[in-house]
Amino acid sequence: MATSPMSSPQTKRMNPKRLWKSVRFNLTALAFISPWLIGFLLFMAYPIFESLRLSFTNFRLLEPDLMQYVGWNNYKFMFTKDQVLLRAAVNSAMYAIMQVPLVMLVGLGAAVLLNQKVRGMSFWRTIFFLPSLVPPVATIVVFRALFDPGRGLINKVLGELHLPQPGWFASSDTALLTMVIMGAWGFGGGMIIMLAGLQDVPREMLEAAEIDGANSSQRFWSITIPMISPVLFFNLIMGCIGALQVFTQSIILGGSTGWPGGSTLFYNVYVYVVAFQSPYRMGYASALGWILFIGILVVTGLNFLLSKRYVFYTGE
Amino acid sequence: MASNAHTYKTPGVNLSRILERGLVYFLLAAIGILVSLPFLWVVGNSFRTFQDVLRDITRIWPEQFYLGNWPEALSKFPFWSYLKNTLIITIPPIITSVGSSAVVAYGFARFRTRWTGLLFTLMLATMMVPGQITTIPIYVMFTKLRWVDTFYPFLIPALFGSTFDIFLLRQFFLNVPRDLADAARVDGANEVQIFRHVYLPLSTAPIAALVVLQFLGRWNDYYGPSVYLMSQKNYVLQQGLGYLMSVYGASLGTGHDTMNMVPWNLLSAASILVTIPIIVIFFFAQKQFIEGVRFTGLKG
Repeated sequence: MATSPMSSPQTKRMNPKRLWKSVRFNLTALAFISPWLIGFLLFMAYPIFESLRLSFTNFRLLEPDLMQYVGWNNYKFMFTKDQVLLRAAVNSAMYAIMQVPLVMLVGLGAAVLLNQKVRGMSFWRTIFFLPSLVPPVATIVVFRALFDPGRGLINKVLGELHLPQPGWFASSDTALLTMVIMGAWGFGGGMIIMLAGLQDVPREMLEAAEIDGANSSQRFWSITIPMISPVLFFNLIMGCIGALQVFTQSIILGGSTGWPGGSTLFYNVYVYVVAFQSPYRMGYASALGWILFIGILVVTGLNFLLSKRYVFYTGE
Repeated sequence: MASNAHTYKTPGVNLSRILERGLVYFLLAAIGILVSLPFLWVVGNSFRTFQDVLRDITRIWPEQFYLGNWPEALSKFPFWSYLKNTLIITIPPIITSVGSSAVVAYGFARFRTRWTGLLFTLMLATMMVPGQITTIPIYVMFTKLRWVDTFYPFLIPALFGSTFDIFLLRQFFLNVPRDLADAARVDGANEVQIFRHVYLPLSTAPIAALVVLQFLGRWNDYYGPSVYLMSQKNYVLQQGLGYLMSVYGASLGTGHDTMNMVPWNLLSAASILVTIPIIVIFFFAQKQFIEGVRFTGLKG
């Protein structure tokens, strides 16, 4: 910090001119930072404390006068009585466990292919990336039709191959799995990040290993993967955080109950339904939000523990 | 890249090399076909008649190029009015949000003292807090202001910048050569002028990348509008498409009998209408999109 471009002038025993300079410096800094600072106080700091407070109340938006502090009751109810929440939490966790590795695998596979000095690299990259741009609602329209159990393209192909034709979105056994497949369609964003990571792997290192007789799979596992492990790690964390908070797909496909049979109800949709649909149980929803936050912190923490063993940072 | 050393070390490498190349292109084509299938289907079906779709929804190449779906889809939901609403909650917030972010990022990059450093760390910490926590108190606040079911919940918070954008631009500003700013100072420029005439012109690339990323996020957002916009006149395009799906029984499990009557031709056309602006922008700003996604992969 001391070597920063304009470090703060010393405030001790200074003459009025230097004092004025220091005040001016700090006021200018404050002026530049103030847009964020105001936003932070209004839309971050206050809501965090308010939400924590609400999570210990039975606050309902439409009956604010009936609000009472209920101690830990919301949290107790959540962990002992709320079967719907249990279902939503399990669904979200299962979705994350399946979708994140799948997207990373497909993304890494595609990135490795694109890194092979292929012709028309930007063409392929565009094709692979386009699905990540499509609005989730439009994606659902298409996948709903393609995976229609009776008449959709997928089951028609499976039928001609004499393979079983699952009910996909229409069956509570396969609806979540179908959402995972739909989620995997958007592997392009992660792919681009991993491709950038692959392109940063020092060429000399790979060539040196080649001369020493390492074959391509040895080079991949012993050089490429360790070198891009920070990128993989980043993808893993962001992927988990994103997958645990999926909203659109769940509410459009399953509505507020997770049709069929609660199999597509995600945590985030449940929080939304509790908070913003009658009777607007915002106290309870705040508690749900905090448990989600803790869940995300735990998952991120676990990932960090893992990273100590598996992630390799150059220059450390 | 295959060094000559390699070629004479292992004879027959040319054949294996050709096979390897073949495999790479085969895999690329296979993934490409799988990935494009939904696109091909939706485009094909947007040019088919309802009768044709009812007979066989698996077909990709249309029997005839029927253009009637487009005007019909436009008439089934108030597309232009939803487009206007979408633009209102997309364009002004992008401008104000990226603009404020740049100002704040400059503050964090140029004025590095203990208290700005602490605030910056605090800002990074807030990136971990999920939106579900802050949304509820903010919603209560907006209810009191009578801002629910208006566009203010999208316009006002954007004035204060975006944490992610501030973080990224600060990192970028830190790499701007200090001599440039010093030279400007010697010439008598004040901080605002240095920001505007030295830092901003050098940062068009990351700013453009952040603009397209924000466009993507705001255009595709369904959560925000679901929370704040409830009357149909205020719907955005994503809500309009979701509404069309529910009208046609394509969204919720209302049983398979109704699914059979879903006009996928109209829904296909509507989906394309909702998606096309992004695809068009992508083709004009491909570099910025790719850059933007790469930025998100920056390790803090």
